[in-house]
Amino acid sequence: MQRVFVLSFVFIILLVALSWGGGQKEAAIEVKTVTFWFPGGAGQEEYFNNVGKEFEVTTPNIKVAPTVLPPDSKDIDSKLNAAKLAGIFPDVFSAYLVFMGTRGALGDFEVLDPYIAQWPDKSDILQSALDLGRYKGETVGLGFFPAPKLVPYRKDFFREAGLDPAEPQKAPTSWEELADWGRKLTVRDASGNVTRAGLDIPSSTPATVFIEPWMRQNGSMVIDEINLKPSWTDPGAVEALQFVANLYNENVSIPHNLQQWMEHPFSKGNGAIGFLLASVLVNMYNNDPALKKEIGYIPVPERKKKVSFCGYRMFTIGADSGVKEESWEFIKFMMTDEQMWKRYQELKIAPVRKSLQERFIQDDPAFNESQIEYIQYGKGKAVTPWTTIANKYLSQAYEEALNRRKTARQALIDAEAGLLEELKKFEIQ
Amino acid sequence: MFVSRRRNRINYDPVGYLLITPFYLFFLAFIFVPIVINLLLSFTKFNLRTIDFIGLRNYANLFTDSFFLISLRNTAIYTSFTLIFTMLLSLLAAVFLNQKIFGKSFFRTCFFLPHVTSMVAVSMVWFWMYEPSHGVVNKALGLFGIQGKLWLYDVNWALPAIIIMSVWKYIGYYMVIYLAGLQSIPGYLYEAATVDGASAVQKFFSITVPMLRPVTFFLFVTGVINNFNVFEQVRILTDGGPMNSTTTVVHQIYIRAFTDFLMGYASSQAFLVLTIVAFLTLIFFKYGQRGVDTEVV
Amino acid sequence: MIVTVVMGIFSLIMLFPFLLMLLTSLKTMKEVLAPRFILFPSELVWHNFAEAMTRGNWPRYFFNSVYVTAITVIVSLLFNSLAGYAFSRLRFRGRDMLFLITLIGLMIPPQVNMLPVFVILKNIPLAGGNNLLGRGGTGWLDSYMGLIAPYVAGSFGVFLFRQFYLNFPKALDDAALIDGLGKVRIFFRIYVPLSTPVIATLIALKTTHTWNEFTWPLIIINSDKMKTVQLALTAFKAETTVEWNLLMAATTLTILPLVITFLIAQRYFIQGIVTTGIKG
Repeated sequence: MQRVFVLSFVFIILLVALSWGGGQKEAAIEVKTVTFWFPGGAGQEEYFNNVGKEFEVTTPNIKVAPTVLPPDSKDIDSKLNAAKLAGIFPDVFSAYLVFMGTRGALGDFEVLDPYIAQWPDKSDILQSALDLGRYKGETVGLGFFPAPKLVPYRKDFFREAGLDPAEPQKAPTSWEELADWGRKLTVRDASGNVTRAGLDIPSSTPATVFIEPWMRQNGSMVIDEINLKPSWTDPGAVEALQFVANLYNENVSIPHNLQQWMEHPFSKGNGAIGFLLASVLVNMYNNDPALKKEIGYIPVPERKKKVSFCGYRMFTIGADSGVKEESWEFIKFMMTDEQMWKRYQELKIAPVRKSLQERFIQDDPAFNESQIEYIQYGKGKAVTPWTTIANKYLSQAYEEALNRRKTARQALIDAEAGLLEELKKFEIQ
Repeated sequence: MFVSRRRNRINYDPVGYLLITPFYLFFLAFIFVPIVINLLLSFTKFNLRTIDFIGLRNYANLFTDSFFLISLRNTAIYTSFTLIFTMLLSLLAAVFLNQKIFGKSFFRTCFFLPHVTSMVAVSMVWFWMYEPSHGVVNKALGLFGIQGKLWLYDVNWALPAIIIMSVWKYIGYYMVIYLAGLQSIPGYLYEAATVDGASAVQKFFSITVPMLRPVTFFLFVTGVINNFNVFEQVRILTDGGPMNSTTTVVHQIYIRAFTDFLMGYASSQAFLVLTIVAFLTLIFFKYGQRGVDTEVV
Repeated sequence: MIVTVVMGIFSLIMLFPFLLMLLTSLKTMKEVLAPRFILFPSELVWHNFAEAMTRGNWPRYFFNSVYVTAITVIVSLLFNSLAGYAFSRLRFRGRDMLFLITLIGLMIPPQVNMLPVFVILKNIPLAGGNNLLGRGGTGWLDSYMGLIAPYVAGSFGVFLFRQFYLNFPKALDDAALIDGLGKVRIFFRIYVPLSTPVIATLIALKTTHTWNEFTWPLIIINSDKMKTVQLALTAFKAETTVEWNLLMAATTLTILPLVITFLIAQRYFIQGIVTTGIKG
């Protein structure tokens, strides 16, 4: 027995000694390496992993080292935090819009304005791709992957309900019309349970992505990005939340969590009108190609303002990066016509170049036109350092209003007060 | 037990220090030092870039943090129920599966299988099972004429739903340890009891339960610790909702540290949790250790 | 007989979600997302398993997981049994205090420790290109040691061994002492051979725990070739969609080694009756 132990110990020590070495030393000076981190998964990895190799062919003295991240933003944050602490923050990072605020405010990203100013292609880039990545007036991210949230509807369900599956021109342009359709399209069983939702109104947190466009359409700023304050108690926001809460309590939806996109009633064929990201629709069509012809797209509703929700993924350069010029070269490569169109063909990512819009529409008229409209009028998450905390309070107000614990007005007043108090408590501004 | 013996006693074994050294080195480097770092951090405002010493302000803020207080309550409820059900059911399972039944290995594997499956896949399956309109759970309840619940979407039932799933997942782990504990109960005790005419139930309560005390103590302490630290299921199934009814302390800590960039505050939360759990453990230690050095004969 | 039936029913209940998982892995995505939950797929799509394994370098991922888990378990057994014995049977100054301190390691939520451990690993002297002061390279990041070392530091095994050794009758020790054996010899000659149930238990539990670790490998592993099996499973998730059938198929495959380990280990729960040789 003793011998077994001793032998094992020796074995272990040998192993440790062997694995002690290894790891990467600094690369030779001639070749620079750009580390490229991107949230991937489900088919996107191949493209992003390979694009590095394509770039290397054109620029032999720059290498690209890609790392795929899991898509959950909390996982990404964990990894980025560890990297920041250890000084290995990625040179190029494909960031979610929300990071512009949370990390941009902390100086994680290099300011891109000097690079963009010298870039001839910049006039060909959609305005939103250039604008949405700004924090306090400085560009910290360049949008390349728009994520608009469309309003698709099922033409076959409309027909079943005896309604005309109207063309987009005759589609509802006001909230009241939308609500009316929702009511007429809801199907219930004998005991009153909803078996087909008229409208997909999410019941659980975090639902800020859902409620914010309604508030903005009604004239609210939601977040005052200039003064960096919440604006939840203005009449526009209150009325919007009350409207949605009332509609929810008319039982026109099936409970679901907004973030589980594939579990939305519409995604599963249990809903008539949905609020879905374009990428979710792409996935639905992949799984069931026959579905596509039965889906139409409602244009951006217009109330006081014409606004939709559109997130973005942006390219950023690490502020501490030692290879900023090279990183910018890589980003420019990713933004060329060829790469952008390739991304569209392989991954169905909408191109952000004005010159490609024609081709984009022609390739898939109904779907892509809707995407363009929603991108054009799109506003994503506000860019502030405390977006995640604000989400918490707004989601709470949303749930309280929907569950009739408080009126929309009271819920939003409490939420705004709570947020301001917490910001003061933790001295975040 | 906590009393140290005098140096010159015949049963003083300094070789003990040598035996614990390999483990202790790793422990110090990768657990103890980080804990100390965290303690220091809890007195600061730290967002990975700038660090400011702010004394006890983080701890003061804990008491006005409604989300944290709710999470404390949720965690306490979760821990109590999960632990009680898991320990009872797993003890019974271990006792039954320690006898000579046909298919013993198979049954044991079935009980352990949930523990072995990764939380991600398992959580999603339960998510579908809990689905209000078409999920298996409500359908099964319907067979017995019970009205289905909204489960994960219902403020009152979301936490119970997670508790049920956790019990299912952890029974195997507890059972395995109980099984090992049952093996070290000398067989002749049971023989002697049979000779005295004791029934199975009597044997259970007068032999099995007392002899399992160190094991039960171990499971209780590690159970409280593990359940207090529950996180994965919450994140995947409900992300703290609906209306904060399922947020737990570690869920809060995670959010604070990784998405709100309030590392110092997160550390203070962790330390409060640590203090509570350490306090509970000390109580168990004082009262649970009685009779542990029992001689068999 | 009744017991068998009752156990059978409960086993089925325990198995049920796992069966659902298996069935999901045999469906098409269209069936997974059907409006009404479908229990049985219309056709068993075994191809999903093959397809799942083409997403990335799975043989390498399996190797990584097996290697890390095996080394962790072996080292843990060595270190923890020694320490557990010392804490339960030997007497030395500060013994109980030292033990209680290790319990604190169990109590701290692991998430808060991750960042400090990360920094420590990066600065291990002479590792991964570091100099004597631990600067310059990447230390134990993105390496096997980085995965193994923090797991080995866990106090769970020590606690487990200690409790079990506390249960051993003192008569064993006394008999051996009379025979002139030193304390360490007693450990090797008497305690270890009788530790089979505990060893089997620790193997079963530590293997499971190490194999299923996700957050720590997530933070520390960057390169594809060092990924563990749990990290590789995230390949089936995208920002808005998840390929459930492939994910469940891959998960089923990743569970198999654990099931096999458990089946082997649990036979040894039966052995190791403590009191052989002590009667009356």
